[in-house]
Amino acid sequence: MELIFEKSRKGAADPYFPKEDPAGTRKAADVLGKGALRTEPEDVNKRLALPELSELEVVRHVLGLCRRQVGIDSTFYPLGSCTMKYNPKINEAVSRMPQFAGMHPLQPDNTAQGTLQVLYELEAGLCHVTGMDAVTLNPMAGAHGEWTGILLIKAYHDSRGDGKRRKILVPTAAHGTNPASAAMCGYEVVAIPGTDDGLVDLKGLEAALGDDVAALMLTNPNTLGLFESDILKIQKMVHDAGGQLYYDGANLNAILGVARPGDMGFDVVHMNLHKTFSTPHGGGGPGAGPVGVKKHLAEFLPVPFVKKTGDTYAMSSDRPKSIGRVGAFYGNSNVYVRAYTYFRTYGKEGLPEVGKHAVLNAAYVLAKLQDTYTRPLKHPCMHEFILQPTKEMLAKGVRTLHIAKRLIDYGYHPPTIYFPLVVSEAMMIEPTETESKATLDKFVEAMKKIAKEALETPELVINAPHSAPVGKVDETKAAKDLDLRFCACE
Amino acid sequence: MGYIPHTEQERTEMLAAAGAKSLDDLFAHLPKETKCGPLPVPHGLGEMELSAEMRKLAAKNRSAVELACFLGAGAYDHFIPPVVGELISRGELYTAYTPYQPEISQGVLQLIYEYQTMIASLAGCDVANASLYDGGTAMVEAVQMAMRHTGRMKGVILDGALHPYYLDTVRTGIGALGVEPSVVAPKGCVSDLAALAAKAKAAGEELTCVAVGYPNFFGSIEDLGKLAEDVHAAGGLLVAVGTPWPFGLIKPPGHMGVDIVCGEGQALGVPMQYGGPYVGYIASDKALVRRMPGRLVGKTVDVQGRTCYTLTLQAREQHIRREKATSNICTNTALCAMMAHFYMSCLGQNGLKRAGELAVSKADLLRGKLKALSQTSGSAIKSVPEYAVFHEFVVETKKPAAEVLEKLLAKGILGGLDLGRFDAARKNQMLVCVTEKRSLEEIDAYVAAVATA
Repeated sequence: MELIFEKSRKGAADPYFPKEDPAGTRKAADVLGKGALRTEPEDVNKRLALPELSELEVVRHVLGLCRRQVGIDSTFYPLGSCTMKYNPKINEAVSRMPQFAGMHPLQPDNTAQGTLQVLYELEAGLCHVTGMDAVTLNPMAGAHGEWTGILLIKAYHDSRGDGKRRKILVPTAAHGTNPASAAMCGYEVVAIPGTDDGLVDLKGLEAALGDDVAALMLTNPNTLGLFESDILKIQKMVHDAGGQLYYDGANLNAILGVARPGDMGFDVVHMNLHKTFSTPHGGGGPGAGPVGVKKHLAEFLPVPFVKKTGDTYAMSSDRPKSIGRVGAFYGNSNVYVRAYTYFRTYGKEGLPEVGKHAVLNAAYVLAKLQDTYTRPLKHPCMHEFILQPTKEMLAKGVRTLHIAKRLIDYGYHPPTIYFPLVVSEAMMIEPTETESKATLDKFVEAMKKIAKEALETPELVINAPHSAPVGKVDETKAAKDLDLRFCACE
Repeated sequence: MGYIPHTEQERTEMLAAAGAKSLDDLFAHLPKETKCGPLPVPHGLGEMELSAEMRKLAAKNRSAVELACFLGAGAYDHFIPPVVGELISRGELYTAYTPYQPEISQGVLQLIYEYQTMIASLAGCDVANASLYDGGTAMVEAVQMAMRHTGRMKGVILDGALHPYYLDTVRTGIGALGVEPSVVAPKGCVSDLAALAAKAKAAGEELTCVAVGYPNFFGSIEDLGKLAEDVHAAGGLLVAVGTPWPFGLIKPPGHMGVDIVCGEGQALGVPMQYGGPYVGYIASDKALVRRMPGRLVGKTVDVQGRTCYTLTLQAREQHIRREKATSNICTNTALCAMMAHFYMSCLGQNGLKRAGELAVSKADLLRGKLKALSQTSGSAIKSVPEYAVFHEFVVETKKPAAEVLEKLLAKGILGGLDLGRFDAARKNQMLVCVTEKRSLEEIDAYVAAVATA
């Protein structure tokens, strides 16, 4: 589709601001002085390039692009490890109330009691959900939460004069953010192998543990969708070696209200509220990555935090041993307003139903598809599972990428593919609890049709998608002939 | 229950297919010690009761919609055309995941490509990324980008007139790598450019970058051309940090030789929403693009040769590079970047410039009136320091600023920021911001409220 800049008409009027200067004011150019004003240079790329269009033209441009885009609202989105559940509309409506959306972050506390109460109660709720003693809402995404959590662990070891712990252990199947976050805190990352069953290899873990290990980062259910049933042994091994246990909350939806990382022995937890608590993914953010900790780490949590005295809430930075500030204000507050709304929707009785139905939906789809595709792992699945193309499909040249793209022709967003890296040709399917049996049955039917096509008309699958707004994209060209912006010289 | 759609019969059929007797049966392989009973949290609510409950909580806030907001300091109350909220409510956009599947994500991808163009051009730079978390973290990323480019770790020199929360965020961020920045105190409210240049020179071989506010925390705008030359001569990069909203009207950092421009893009169409979600931006010269953190959208073609867009240079990112990635960041704030896109598209070059002019004129008006008041005995205003500003400036008060602000609040005015919050030596100073949205009546009410001590 044409770029918005190509539709621009020089001098198009906007209806927003008065053309006359307000009475009694000086002209802006006189106030600023000529030298301060923007003038456009020779270099076309450095000139201001905002389009000039009527509002209607902008609206049509955006709606035209919406036809080339899918979200959960348009289609089933079984994207493994991303928990693409329905984003209830009431969350959006509440977050857009002017009394929440119009709050300045530096307003006096006595004018912000509503927001502060929401944040405070959400912190308390997240403590209960994870089994932790304290929660910070500062981190703005999962990876930001990981990074914050690792800094907390570092602060803890440092406070005990235990400076020799320079390593962080991460399973080979972990999310890429785990090693990246550890490295951003200056740690050496050591990969821990998994067993053929897809679980942590206890012998490998034992061999890697020592007095130079700061922590083990673990996802549970793990990135293969399996529950680490040896978790109590693992926590004892790590703690006996003086290390801390870090919980990557990417898969928290599987156990919501049923089991808690705190009870498994984890010391630090991050949550992805854009997954588990239904806040929208927004086409790639904002996320929200609160971090929960056990008592011994609470004094290191970032500032600021919400303090309650009697019935009054206040923003405080009084935490002398804090690792400091990890963002400008108090995290993605208005994402938390949505998460809080969601939390209050489900409450005591509802939260366990979320976890249970998330697992039910995954187990159901797995049962329906395990004879059509290869199921590499025999352990019971949790909220997501991995399939592979069968040997026969691979022999016809049909790979996971092709199946994923063919699903687009059937109207679905593809599952996560080629993750985790430790399983070849992985298709990671996560239905979430908000999908109905009818939707799942139709998806199963489509997957079975594709399996048949893969054997009978493999070209049809290999060349998919056929009905998408664009076909297979040349990613190599994108990286080689780097073009990150429109240039008026084109 | 909530948004779980299963009927009793469907549940029974599905459990049977999965070979489980009950929902609890699906968790039979979890050690019992890890399982929890009912949580001590409130009961769930239907939407009807929940709406009432949330309205009650909302009513405990007094937002900038009710109060006249002269508070800025990193978050700004601008007029946002309703079209921005309407467009961002499209389910295709806000309920989408990161556009890893370009075939069905051309909407978000093209919007981000267009956003990158707009924000880069606004900053006067060649390229910009797809956005970062917020202004504070964008500054951390900018400093780390300079570290990667220069291959140096030490020699990070920061303007003391940057937002105190950004300075704190950078201290945490690069402190994690064992690096301590040196901070150069401002001269009053103006960044001390000469001292920054001298410090850069003194750092010699170790110099990584100098980061300076533009506009700085106190609203000051100074030409950065000379500083850029000095920093380059010393072998480092110059980073400018500030809201990009004024750049439609005033000289952007990219036109003054600045290498990396970053900061908070909230002012471009994103509500203040108590500090987040916001949209950190980072823009630079194209020579630095491969050092840039975060997501980038690039133009390419599909198998049929049709123009399309995709995430690119992903080989720098954590899901490929793991511990060797340029950053651990795996999210941008696409939603807010799209809002900024809609805002900039609707306003256009002329609208953004016009809004800037109105803000400058109105800020000048209030600043002038407060200055006049400082000459009269009995007012709360001691003086109004002279320096070049855009729409935000410092006012010195006779009593602690906190008391003056309380008086303004009693009149329904968020009068500004008490600078004593960050620096006890500035307890008789407040930072006042006037956007295009403030009316002459509100400005008059402000003046009336401080006319008497």
